[in-house]
This record gives sequence, C-alpha cells and structure tokens, in this order.
Amino acid sequence: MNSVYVLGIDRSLDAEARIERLVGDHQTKLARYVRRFVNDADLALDVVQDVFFSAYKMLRADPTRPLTAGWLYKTATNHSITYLRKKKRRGETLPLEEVSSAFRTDECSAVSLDLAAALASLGEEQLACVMLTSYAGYSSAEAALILGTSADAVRQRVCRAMRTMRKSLGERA
Amino acid sequence: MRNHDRYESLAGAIALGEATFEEREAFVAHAADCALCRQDLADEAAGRSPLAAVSSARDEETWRPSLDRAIVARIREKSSKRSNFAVGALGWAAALSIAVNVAFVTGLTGQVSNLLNPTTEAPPITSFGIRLPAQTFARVPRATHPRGFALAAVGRAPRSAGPALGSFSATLAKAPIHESAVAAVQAADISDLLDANGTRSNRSVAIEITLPCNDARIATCGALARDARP
Repeated sequence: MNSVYVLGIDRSLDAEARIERLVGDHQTKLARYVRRFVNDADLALDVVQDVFFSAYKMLRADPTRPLTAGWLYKTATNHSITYLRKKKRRGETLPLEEVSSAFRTDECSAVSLDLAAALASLGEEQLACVMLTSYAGYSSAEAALILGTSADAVRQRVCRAMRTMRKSLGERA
Repeated sequence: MRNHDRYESLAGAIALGEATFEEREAFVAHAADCALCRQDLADEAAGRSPLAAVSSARDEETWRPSLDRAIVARIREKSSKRSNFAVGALGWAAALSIAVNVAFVTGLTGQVSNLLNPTTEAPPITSFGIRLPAQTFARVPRATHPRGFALAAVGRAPRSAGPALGSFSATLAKAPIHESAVAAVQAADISDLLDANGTRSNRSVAIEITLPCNDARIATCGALARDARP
C-alpha cells in the first residue's frame, strides 16, 4: 500500500481537477472497502461519494493541502462506523441470507458469503482494524494513526477479531 | 497492559506478519500453556487464518463501480449553486446600488436619514417668527429654566386659541423638531409674556424661535409659521 500517495503534489491543478484524479485513482478500491465494511453496495456508493465530496470541499477551502489515501480510508471508515452504530441503535441486524445481496453473483461463493457473515459478527472497532490491515493493506502502526489509537491496541483487536471470525466460520462450516 | 493482552497483541502481530523473531519465540513459548493462543498458532501455520481469507476475498472481488460522473455532477451542481448564488447576490447588489443612487439623487435618502436619525447631522439653521398669543401659554415651574417654558407650556396651548396654534402644538408634540422647539422656547426671551407678578399676561408677543432645520423641517416649520402668523 502506497500510504504516502499524495494527490496534493500537483499544485497546478484546481480542486475539481484534483478531485477527478482522486476519484479515478481510488474509487474502486474505496467502494469495495466500504461495501465489505457495511455489507451494502448502495450504501457503499453513497458513503464513497460523501468521502470524495468532503475531500473536494477541503481542497476548495485549502488548495495547497496534501490529501493522502490514508485520509480517504480514515473518512470512509468513520462514515461506515457511524452507519453501523446507527443501525445497531435502531436494532437492525442483517439476516445472513441478505448478506449476499451486497455482492455480485460471481462474487457470491460460499467462502465469500461465510466471510461476509463472519465480518458482520465483529464489533465496529475490531472490524475497522481487520479491514484497514488485512483488506486495505495498512500496517498496524498506520491503522493506529488512522483510528487514533496505539499499534498494540490494533494488533490486540485484530487477534480478538480473528478469534471471533474463526468461531463464526467454524459454526457455518 | 495485562500479561495475556500482551500475547494477544503478539498474536495479532504474527497474523499481520509484523512480529519479530523474538516476539514470535515469546508467543510460541506462551502458546505451549495457552489453548486459545495455540489455536491461533495452528491456524497461522496451516494458512487458515481468517485474515488470510479477508485478503484473498479482496483479491477476488470484481465489482468496479463508476462514481466519476456522479461525483463530478455533484461537484458541478454545488459549483453551479454557488455561482447562481453569486450571480443572484451580484444582481441584488446592483439593484440595491441603483435604488440607493436614485434615492440619493431624488433626495429621498436625506429624508429617510432624517426620519431615522434626526440628530446625527448638524442641520442648517433657519429662523422664522411666530406670533403667539400670550394667553396660550401657561406658566410652569421654573425648574428647567429661570425664564422658560417647558414642554408642558407648549403642550397645554388650548386648541380653542385657534387652529394654527392648535396645529402647531399638536404637530410639535409629535414632530422630530420637538426637542429643538422646546429648547428654543426655553431660550427665548419671554419676559413680555409675564406681568410684574410673574403671572400670565394677556398680551400677544412675537417670539423669535430659532430651530435647527433641514429641508424637510423647513417645509414643516415654514407651514407652521405661516399658519401661526396672525
């Protein structure tokens, strides 16, 4: 993961041109990341759109500000966590058979669905640690910076998440 | 950090491939006595770590959403709203500027300004004489001025004294020149209105009242003066 990717290097571009490049470079990875996070493709698109729009507003306010991919993932993670918490407060739980609705037919292998269900069984903080490290490819130190915690805490949450997922996958098997 | 928390952190580091040789050794030594951690180690060795499943799921995804158009459209919509607002604001500013200029040219601003804040500018001084029948004044205590009439004296002028005077009093009570008029009456030499005992005289006298007036007030005061003249 090129964590020092900085779009702001090319200062000759205006905010719109920079955001177009940012969208072109990151939209697919970010949308997949959010979809896996929230188990909802439509919501993932909304979240990603909001993330890029926040980036655009930030670039308009301060055109010289460098934007890293880490900022995009941080914002997307925060948006996703907020959504999951709201959903939990409303008492909504996603039935396991509906998990597949977030994925295309060619992505709906049994393993993939089991994994989606296992990820859905995690708490938001553990999920964020697993997604940032194992999915987005950040190190525990980088994930700690993104989440505002320590690297040890990230590793510990990864370990606990791993155990919860193992249990969930074992039950489904 | 509690002791087992430390090993959980090590298990995480091993699963993420970040553990050093020494850390791995320490974890293996701990796992010999801990079933949960031994399971972590076994999964790791067998390549069955759930984290590996997450990584491979990422690599197998085929979904390629295209957000370019939606985002660019949203940004353009926002820019367009902003420019519409700017154009609208510019239009309003131009309209307001024209209105202010027209008002200035026609003298409306002066009148409005005087109505809103009559004492902010020093108006030109104009003088006119009003002949007031002495009996229309009532003597008031000399608290405010040794030889003056207070507002009460003017306000008490009976309407029966004549329409002009009644009109003058009534208008004076409401008009912006109120304070100035009171001050002017107080300052005027009104000794002729009083007899030797200091009581009201029946004679009519001419009192020169000097009022600070602008154009609008001159019109008002001029009319009053005309009407009040016998």
